[in-house]
Amino acid sequence: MKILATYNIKGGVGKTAAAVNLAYLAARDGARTLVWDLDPQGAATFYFRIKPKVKGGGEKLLGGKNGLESAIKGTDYPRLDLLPADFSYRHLDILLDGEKKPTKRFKKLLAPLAASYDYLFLDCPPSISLVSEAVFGAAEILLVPIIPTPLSLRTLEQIYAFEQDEGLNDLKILPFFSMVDRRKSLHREIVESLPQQRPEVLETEIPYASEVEQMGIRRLPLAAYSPHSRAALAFAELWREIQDQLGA
Amino acid sequence: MEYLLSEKLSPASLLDSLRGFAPCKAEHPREGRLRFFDSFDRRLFRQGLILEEETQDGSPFLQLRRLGTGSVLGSASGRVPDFAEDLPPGGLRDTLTDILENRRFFPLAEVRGLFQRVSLLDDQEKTVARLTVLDRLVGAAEEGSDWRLPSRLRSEPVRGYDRELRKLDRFLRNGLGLETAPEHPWHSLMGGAGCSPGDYSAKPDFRFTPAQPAGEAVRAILAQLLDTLERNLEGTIRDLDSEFLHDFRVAIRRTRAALGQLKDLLPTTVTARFRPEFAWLGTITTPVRDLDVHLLGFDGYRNLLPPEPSVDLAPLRERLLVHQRRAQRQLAEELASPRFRKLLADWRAWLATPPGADSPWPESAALPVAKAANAHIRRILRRVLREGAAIDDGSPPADLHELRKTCKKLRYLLEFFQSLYPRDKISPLIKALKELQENLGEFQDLEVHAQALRAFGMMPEAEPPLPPETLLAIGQLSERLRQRQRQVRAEFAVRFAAFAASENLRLVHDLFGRKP
Repeated sequence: MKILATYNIKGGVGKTAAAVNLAYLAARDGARTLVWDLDPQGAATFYFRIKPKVKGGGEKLLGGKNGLESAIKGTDYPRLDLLPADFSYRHLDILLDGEKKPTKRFKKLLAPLAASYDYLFLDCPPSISLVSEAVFGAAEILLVPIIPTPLSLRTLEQIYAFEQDEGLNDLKILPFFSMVDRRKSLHREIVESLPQQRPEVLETEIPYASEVEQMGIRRLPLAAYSPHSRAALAFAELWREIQDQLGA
Repeated sequence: MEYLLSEKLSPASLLDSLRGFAPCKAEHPREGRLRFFDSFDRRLFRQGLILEEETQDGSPFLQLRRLGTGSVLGSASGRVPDFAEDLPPGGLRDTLTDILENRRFFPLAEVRGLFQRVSLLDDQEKTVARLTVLDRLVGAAEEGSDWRLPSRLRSEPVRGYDRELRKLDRFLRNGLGLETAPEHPWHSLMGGAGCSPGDYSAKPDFRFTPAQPAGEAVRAILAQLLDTLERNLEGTIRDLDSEFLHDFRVAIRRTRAALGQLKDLLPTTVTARFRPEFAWLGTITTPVRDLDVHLLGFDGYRNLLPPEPSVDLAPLRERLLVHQRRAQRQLAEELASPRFRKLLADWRAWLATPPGADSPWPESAALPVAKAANAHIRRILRRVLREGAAIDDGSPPADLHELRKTCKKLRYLLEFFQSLYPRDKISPLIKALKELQENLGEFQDLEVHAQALRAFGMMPEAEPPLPPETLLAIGQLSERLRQRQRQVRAEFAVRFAAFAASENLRLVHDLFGRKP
């Protein structure tokens, strides 16, 4: 099972849209795919029309046997399942803090899922916390959507610094541009210049598009209602690029 | 779960009834096709599985299903490739390569019809179960003509909505009176074409009663071996996968062992006529098999070396492939030759001759098979024990090779006649022999590999030389193989002692009478 996390310290950068749309594409191609909506706001859960409720909350998920497995819900799409968000996830940090080795504990928690899934997408809450730390330790790829603005670049540098400090050598950080508005010169400049310093930035950029915003109204992944839109095609291209990275 | 739709219930009225039960979202019915795949030796079927390729609107999709429940174990988009390792990376590829190893996929049957997908929804318009109506089904199994199959309804669970699925099941069975389908459509098609799904096994199944005349039993063994040989012939000629030749050769070796070890139970004219011919068949199939073994073991070779030299081996693989293809062409020619055709025809003709209508049989052929089997097994067992005991640390490889061949003969005799003996005694003996054979087999394989690698390193002038780094890697590899061979050789004494242990000799005594 390949574990990918979508993450940024900053909120509202297209993190959940990426998790939902990429997971949809993975499942459509035949892979058994699970999204864990770790964000107590529950945006991914909302997109999939599933109640943001887990019996027993985060405590039961982390504590008991089969806690994760029994909370999983199938979505509208074959092979695509969701581990819903729960409001209690806002205390996930405290729960993990009670564990001796939170990162190890988290990895162990995910291990049984490998029998049922080819891909696991972790949609993380913004901010650096014990939860994100545990996610970094468990994931193979960290997908970081960045809006091409100076502030976003700063948060990207913070993520790299954190990676260095924690010695997360196994984690592959893959930033990609999100909500790009080519009409803005600042966006254009950053999209051109950042890959020179950071060659690992993925080539595909997700454009700023109203179709993506419609996801919240339609409660569907983008490719399910607008498969030929520019943004949907960009997500498909992004997924191909990520798969290449996973194969490499 | 799959349900059969009765003639009276059309898909349209089924849909109406479903709408009365819960909100539904139905797509338009579309023409579709399901093709069913397994390996030639039905490895998936033996595990209770079938691989389905579903095509609608020209885009194929694969699902590995459990026969019976129909639950899906893995899936991928795309066509069924030749081999499992050619599938896109993921769970489906992993599961299938584990089961099928180097066996190719075979299309077994296909069914066409109108497929309609229906989602059962909850009050949030969220899917809680998925259904597919398979209507106007027409299909064919291999070499069969088209059959009409009753329409079906497939239900697929959505995780976390078990209660909804149970309610749906109750509604379909009790409310609409649908029956669950007793078998997978593939079974129905195979049955229609007169085949049974598990009709091929590389492992022959010989069954005898103790009083049966020995000669008749041997002829039955030989006939079954010819069946196996013929079933693998086309795949061997076309080199569909390397197991065809392997099974083909095992059938030859077993035939030769029967003709040689049991010759006193057969007419002398028969053994004189056919033994040399089957020996020839063994010889002409050897070069391809040897090269297949190198190619199959290639990943193992690479793993024996550090990363860099292992990359340098690539030109060797290319060379092996060229040789394999050349040897294969030659083999295909031999197997199309008049000599081979005549061998098959004459052999089949003799096997089909009614008892008494052919050349005179020796008196011993009339003995009860149980008695003859005891005597023959005892004799070859004595030889195994004698040859094994004579091997010490200084014995040459040829002695081990000789013992290996004797062990194979014993193994074949045990397998031919095992139905005559109590299972709880014959099985442990076969198992003990197998462990000894593994040691001898690995030793001999390493010997052959190391020799062949050296030969490849010193290719005749006719071939372009291999790059120096490849020759170096071959040298390193030969050394590794020699090291491993020394280890295996050192284990022989322990393995042989385990086989010749007193508890096994007691088994031998109980099974075959007298001390061997």
